[in-house]
Amino acid sequence: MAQITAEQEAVAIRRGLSWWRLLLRDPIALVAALWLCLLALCVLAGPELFGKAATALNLRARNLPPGSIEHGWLMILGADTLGRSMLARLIVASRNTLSIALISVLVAMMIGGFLGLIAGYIGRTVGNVIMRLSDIIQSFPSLLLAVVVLYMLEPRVGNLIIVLAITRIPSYLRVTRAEVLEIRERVFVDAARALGGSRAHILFRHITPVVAPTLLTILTVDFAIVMLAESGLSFLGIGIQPPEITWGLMVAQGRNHLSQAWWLAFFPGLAIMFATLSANVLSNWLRIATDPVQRWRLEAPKGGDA
Amino acid sequence: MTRFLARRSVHSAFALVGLIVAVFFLARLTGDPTNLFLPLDASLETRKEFAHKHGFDRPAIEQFWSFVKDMSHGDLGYSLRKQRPAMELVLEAYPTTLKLAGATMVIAIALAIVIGALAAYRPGGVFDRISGIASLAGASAPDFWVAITGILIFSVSLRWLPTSGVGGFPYWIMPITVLALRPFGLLVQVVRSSMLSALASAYVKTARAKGVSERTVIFVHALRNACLSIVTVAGDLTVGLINGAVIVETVFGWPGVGKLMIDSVIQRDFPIVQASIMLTATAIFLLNIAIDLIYVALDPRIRHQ
Amino acid sequence: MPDNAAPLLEVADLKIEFRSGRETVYAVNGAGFSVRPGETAAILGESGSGKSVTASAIMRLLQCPPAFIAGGAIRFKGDDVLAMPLNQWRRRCGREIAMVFQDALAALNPVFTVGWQIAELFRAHGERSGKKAEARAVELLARVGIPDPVNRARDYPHQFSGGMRQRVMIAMAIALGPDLLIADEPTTALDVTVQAQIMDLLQDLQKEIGMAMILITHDLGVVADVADHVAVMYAGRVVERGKVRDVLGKPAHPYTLALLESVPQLQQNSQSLRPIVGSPPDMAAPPSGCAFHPRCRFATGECKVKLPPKVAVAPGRVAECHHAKSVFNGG
Repeated sequence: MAQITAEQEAVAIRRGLSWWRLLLRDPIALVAALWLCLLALCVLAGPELFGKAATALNLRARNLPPGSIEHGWLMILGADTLGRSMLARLIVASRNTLSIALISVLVAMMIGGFLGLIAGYIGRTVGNVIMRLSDIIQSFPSLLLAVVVLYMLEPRVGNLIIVLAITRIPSYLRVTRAEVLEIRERVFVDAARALGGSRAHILFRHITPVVAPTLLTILTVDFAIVMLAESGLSFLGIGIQPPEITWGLMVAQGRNHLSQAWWLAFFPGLAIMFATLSANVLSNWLRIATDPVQRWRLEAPKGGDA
Repeated sequence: MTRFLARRSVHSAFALVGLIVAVFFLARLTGDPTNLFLPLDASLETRKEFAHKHGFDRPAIEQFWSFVKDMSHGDLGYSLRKQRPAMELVLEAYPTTLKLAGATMVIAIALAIVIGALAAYRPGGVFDRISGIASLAGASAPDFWVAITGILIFSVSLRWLPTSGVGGFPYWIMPITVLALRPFGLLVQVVRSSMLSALASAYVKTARAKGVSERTVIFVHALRNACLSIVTVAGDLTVGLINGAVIVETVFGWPGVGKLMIDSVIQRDFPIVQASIMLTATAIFLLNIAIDLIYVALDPRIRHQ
Repeated sequence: MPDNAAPLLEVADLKIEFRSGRETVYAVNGAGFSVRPGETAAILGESGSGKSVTASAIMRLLQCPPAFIAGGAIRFKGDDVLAMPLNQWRRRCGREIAMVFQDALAALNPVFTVGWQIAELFRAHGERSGKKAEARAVELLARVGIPDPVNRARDYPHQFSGGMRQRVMIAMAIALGPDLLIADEPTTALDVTVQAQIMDLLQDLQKEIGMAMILITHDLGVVADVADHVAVMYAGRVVERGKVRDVLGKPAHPYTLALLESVPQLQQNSQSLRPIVGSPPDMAAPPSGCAFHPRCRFATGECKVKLPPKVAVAPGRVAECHHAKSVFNGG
């Protein structure tokens, strides 16, 4: 057993290295990955580092247009109606925006993946009931669903995460179930069963590793989708409520000053766009990188057209 | 074929019924349903009176039956704020939304097919890369932000287009563009990938070996097969379009269902919210059946099952 | 057919590679053979020997990238196929040269009727009247032996049996009476009984039309029954070629010999061909020298380092082997 684990580890390390090399080969995906890393830093340390700057009023810098560093480099993106630094506010708001999206997606993936495993593995009846329930969620526009539920509950962060997570469950459920149904028939699961592995063992030891890359790809796409949904809800005024801030809410607030200070709405929206675009680019890359049939597209040398 | 259609319709119907049940019970589970109907500052007396009048003090099951009975008569409640039946208000708003959504989808699908097919023809080529980034950007852009940025540029600065409202052609340009971005971006990717697999298929080789022109190979042989997945995704995107419609209608002041619903949420006018959901769910049910019919028409393999 | 007639198709020193960043698969490494008008040439080889890739290259159906034609030439009726503008070549496909694919279910478009797909051939080559094209499609279906052709023309590929689908493929290929038909494992996907019917049909049609045929197969029996000439492919090279009777009667390459030796197993009621010792080479890292040396019982030190020359063992007989002469003489 120990030998096998060591071997697997070696394979994993080699794979990790070659993934890194693949990422280096695709400049667009690399930029996307680096941007997401930068955002992760903002989420982790932003509010602690820039919290003060984001709340400090500076009456002389009220509605300061972007592009000048007269009032310090934090004012490079301009200042809001109270003279607070846009850049600092954006960094501080990144924590709410990104962590809400990330937590929702993780919750959705865990619930959806788990239900998918059950639906695919346990039996037809249970599977069908689960699938029909997911149909209900999937057949209705997610934003509308969220609007209604948030109306009936309260627009608190916790509720927002629950609602957003629920709307994303079906995609994980479907993928996991489909993969489980396929893998189930494959030899190695039979072999594991013949060796007397318990059901739980087969599920988590054999099926999860195969499904995980696909789920990770969906997770990245969904991260973008959920971020857009949360921003949309906050923009409509039924998501995050002030004094908390998210990028979506900043766009909504900036909208009232559109003709005097366009940057108030423009930069938070641009931040959303860059984050979602990065997630989408990375997920496209992941999809190709984890697909052995398409992988050559990434590996092929540049300018090799003939 | 009939079995396929029957099974699909049952599934769609199940989703419709499930949603209605879910909305009803969720509304009751959240505590005091009068909260949903009355303003937050309503007095205790008003609440009690209202609850009694609408039977909220009766058991939930009993309420559900009367709810279903009313609904089967087309009675989806009465808007206290607007003093009109909720169903009437929603039905009035629907055509506006449908027109907007229909025009958007037609444009998005047509453009996506042309661009996706051309991108798939030379994967990795310049056109493929540009259209790939552009479609991703379209799918990633926050629609509300694109909408207000559009207003800022084309209405406030350049004064080419109206900021909001309904009217002639200029009024349609921005709402349709903004609403089309997402489905267009996603569809380009779907068209591209399904065209790629169609172009790599054996039947495309056969067509080329027959001496069929490259244009026919792409736009007849490959596209006709790619259509199958395009239709499925386009159906889902049409459902998703309602999401965008809520935002676009709100920003551009279109008197459609999306705006009606958000206004009602903000004014806490629950009957209208409820009626909007029910009618939207019904519309989606019909849409799903239409998609299945189109699918059957497109795929002879299902037709002869 | 006279042996000295000008060749209809000539493949010379063809090299095809599949490139992906990490590795290059050398699928075809200098294959050469020729086909004269009216004759049947077989390309015999295991899967992975490069025979189907060669066929696709002749029709210019390879997807580039990942495929690259790294060298060699293909001449059809004296014209350089690879140098010709693609659309000019396409116009000759179907009319002068046609192809039957292995898996007819995949090779026929699932969403169009069979009649439409056959009629398309006429439309693509100048028939303006859709009605006439359809009528000619029905005629063709009758000609390849499909019963009730008028109604069957309105059916879709999935509604046909495997044998009938292959007949449809053949109908499409012979529609315009081509000079050369490439049949890529036309019977592999079919039942044994149907296989014989399809081969018979192909031979009858060949005689009627007077076309030449390249038959790509891994089945020695089919080669012996049908072909005039044979080119044996191994690891992307044509290792031996000559008249079928001569090659199968007195092979000059150890691989051909090994193939022949593995056949009698079939008659001893063994269910499968006994494979030749060892496994086919990994074409991303082909063996040095002669690619067959790791599996060859004649191999000497020379074979490991030096690519064997083309040895003419008899008139019209060429084998690429250092020991061709001794194999030929019954070594």
